[in-house]
Amino acid sequence: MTRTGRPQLSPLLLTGLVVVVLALIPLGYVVVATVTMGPHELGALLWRARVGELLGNTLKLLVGTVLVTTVLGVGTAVLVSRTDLPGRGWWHALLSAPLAVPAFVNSYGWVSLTSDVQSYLGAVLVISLSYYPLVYLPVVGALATLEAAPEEVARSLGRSRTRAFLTAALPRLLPAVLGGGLLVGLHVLAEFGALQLLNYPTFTTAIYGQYRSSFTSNAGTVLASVLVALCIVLLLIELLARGRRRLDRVGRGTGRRPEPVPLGRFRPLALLGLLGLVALTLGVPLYSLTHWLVVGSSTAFPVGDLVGALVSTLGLAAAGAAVTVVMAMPLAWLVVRRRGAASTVLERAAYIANALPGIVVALALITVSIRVVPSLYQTLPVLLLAYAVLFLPRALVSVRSSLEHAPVLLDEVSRSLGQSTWATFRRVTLPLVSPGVGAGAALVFLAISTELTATLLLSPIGTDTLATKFWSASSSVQYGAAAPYAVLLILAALPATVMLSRQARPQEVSR
Amino acid sequence: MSSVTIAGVVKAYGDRRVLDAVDLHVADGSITSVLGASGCGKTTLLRIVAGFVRADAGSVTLGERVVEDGRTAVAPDRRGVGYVPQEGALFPHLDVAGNIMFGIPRGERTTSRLGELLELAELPADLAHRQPHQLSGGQQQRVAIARALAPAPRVILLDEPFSSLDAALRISAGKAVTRVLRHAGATALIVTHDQGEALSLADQVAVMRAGRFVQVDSPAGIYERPADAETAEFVGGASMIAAEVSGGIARCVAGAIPVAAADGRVRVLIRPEQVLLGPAAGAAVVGQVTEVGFYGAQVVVTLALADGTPLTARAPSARTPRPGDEVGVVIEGSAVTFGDES
Repeated sequence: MTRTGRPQLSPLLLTGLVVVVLALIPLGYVVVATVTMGPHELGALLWRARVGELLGNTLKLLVGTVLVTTVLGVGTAVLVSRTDLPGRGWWHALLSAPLAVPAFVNSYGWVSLTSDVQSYLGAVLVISLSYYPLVYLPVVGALATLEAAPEEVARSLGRSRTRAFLTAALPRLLPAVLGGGLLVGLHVLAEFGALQLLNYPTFTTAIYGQYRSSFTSNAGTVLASVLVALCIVLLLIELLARGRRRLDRVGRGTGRRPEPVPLGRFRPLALLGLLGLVALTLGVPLYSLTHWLVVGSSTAFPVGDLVGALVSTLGLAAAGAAVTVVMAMPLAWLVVRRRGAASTVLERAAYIANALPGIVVALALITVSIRVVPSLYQTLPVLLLAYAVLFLPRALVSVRSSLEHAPVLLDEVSRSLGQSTWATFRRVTLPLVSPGVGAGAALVFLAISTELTATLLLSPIGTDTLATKFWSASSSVQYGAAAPYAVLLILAALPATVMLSRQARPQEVSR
Repeated sequence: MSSVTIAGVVKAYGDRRVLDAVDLHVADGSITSVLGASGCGKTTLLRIVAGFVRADAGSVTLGERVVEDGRTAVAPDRRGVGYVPQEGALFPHLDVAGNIMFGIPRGERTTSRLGELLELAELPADLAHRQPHQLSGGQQQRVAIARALAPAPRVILLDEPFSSLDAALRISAGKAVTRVLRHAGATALIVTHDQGEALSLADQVAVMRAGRFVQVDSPAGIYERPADAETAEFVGGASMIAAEVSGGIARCVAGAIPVAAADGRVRVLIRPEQVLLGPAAGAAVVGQVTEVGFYGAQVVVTLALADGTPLTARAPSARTPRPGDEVGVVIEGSAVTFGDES
């Protein structure tokens, strides 16, 4: 006789624990390095005019971009979802499209045309134009699930159309707006390439500068710990907002959708506004790219270099996606199949790692690898680990939802038909989860192929990706040489953008 | 196939005893239904027999083989127990043939074996390459049963097999499934909360309440001689009326009814189909109609007897009385009695 029932969970829990420990290395490094620094040195490094200036810059940019993206995101979402705007399907595609232009490519587009954007207002403008879809998409999604009844009741109680929207619909959109706005905040805190090009100093660019001048230093670590603290504050707010958003969706999809609001004499104004926005978000970078491709004096098509960068980008992205998905598997399994306090803690810990900017992850892994396993410094495994830490949550979301489509009941049926645990996994679970796991891997693949910061710091010597090649050309003002790489980067980001845009489609899209 | 013997099985979750020393024997080649309200522990018992859940104490024996004795247990894949869960739970990534042949060793998956199993489950051969979502609820159920029978298990377990089907389909699906099980000579244990299903499909009915079997008997035995008042009401419509027994006759407001009980105060169980309605004029017992439920061919009439005691009757709808009418009442046949509670 053999012992039966559920397989023992300790090896699985152990695997999950290893994954989370790996994912928490960067956070752990920052905390430990800061704490062991000693209060005297820490104080001296922290209370400096430089830190105050960076904090001011970062917060100013954060507030500015969150405000502008919220206004742009909500305004365009309402126009596309709730009015009789002509060609709403096309507008939706155009308004989501800026996600396909990485922020550092967009900045390059602006900076290479005019140096006027290298200022606070310029940085707010360019960063907001890159990130407003992060507000637009969730608000469109929320508007699509909103029923008409509460607004109609408000109208029947004597409210005007605008007042009814403000009092009966807007409060229900608030969680989506808040979630989107905070996501913008996290992206702004992590942004490095775009801000470096815009010549706007924040924590990320300062950490990078510190790293370039003195490799790893306590000064850099202190800057990183302030940045991490900002990220965690934002993340906590975002987690709260997400909790509320779930509640908000209870009982959706049963009611009727509101009638579209006729724009009337405002129609030309609305069309003109959207056209202007699209001209700024897509027109400027695309014009700039075309300009440098066609007339740029430094434009050359070093086909060998292009192909080389493309091949190593694809290779890194594939390897990174594989590592990330393999690490996500045991965590997802724990969360779905072994619900409990331990599983929840592990999953939350993996999500916290998501809040860390690429620059912090890279810096931490460099320091830890030099101190613990010097032979690994600037090798492929460390770079792949950085990718896994950065993109684990994306993989986790997909793998988790696919496992939820493979109920335990089917495993039990398989066991009763004489199949062992392993045969059941191979014949039942694996075929059922593979589509979701594949989608997760694709998302991570696409994210890695446009990743700049961690790649810049961690890639083995001689390994150039599209992003790093683009970076070395554009940061040395060879705009023409950077252009072909920018085109390939946009093409690499396009599939994920199409996917996200389709997920949040405005209701009754007229084509 | 083999018999199933469950002896003294105990299962507790925390402080809650879900199964409290349960005994049951299912003879080789027979069908037993476990009948109980939801939460009574019947599904846990099924999962212990299948091997998905360990018992805290007690034993499960399939034929001569002990598969669970409280200390050690045979893994579910080595028990030879077919399992048909609620809604069938077909593998969504496999077609009908893939589902049915799932438990058969690779070398034995022949077209002729598939044909036999489809025929056994009364499924047309052209269904073999349909996907599960293209099948009706009843067809899915029969594929699930063919899949469970395919590796020739010792016993087959069915967990609320018809609860996901609509009312019209339930009866025909139930009949079809019993035909398949009988044809295969299967030993089967069916868990259900539907007394109609339990009584019509099984050779033996085990009524479970709060983790214990209150009665294990033939379907007719359960209906005609329920062990207690609660069971009587659970397995069918029932009116309980206080009566005084003397000399084998119970006298009550519904008249004089022959019973097999000692003299004294009792409650008599009167089934709706025992109550015959007639004209009020000249009748010994008269009731006033308070409510009429119309079910097409039949009506269910609720009466108030002389002292207000309610009595339910089932009658053909051709002569439907109306609320407020006075009707004559005759109780047909003998009745079961229970101790007086008051």
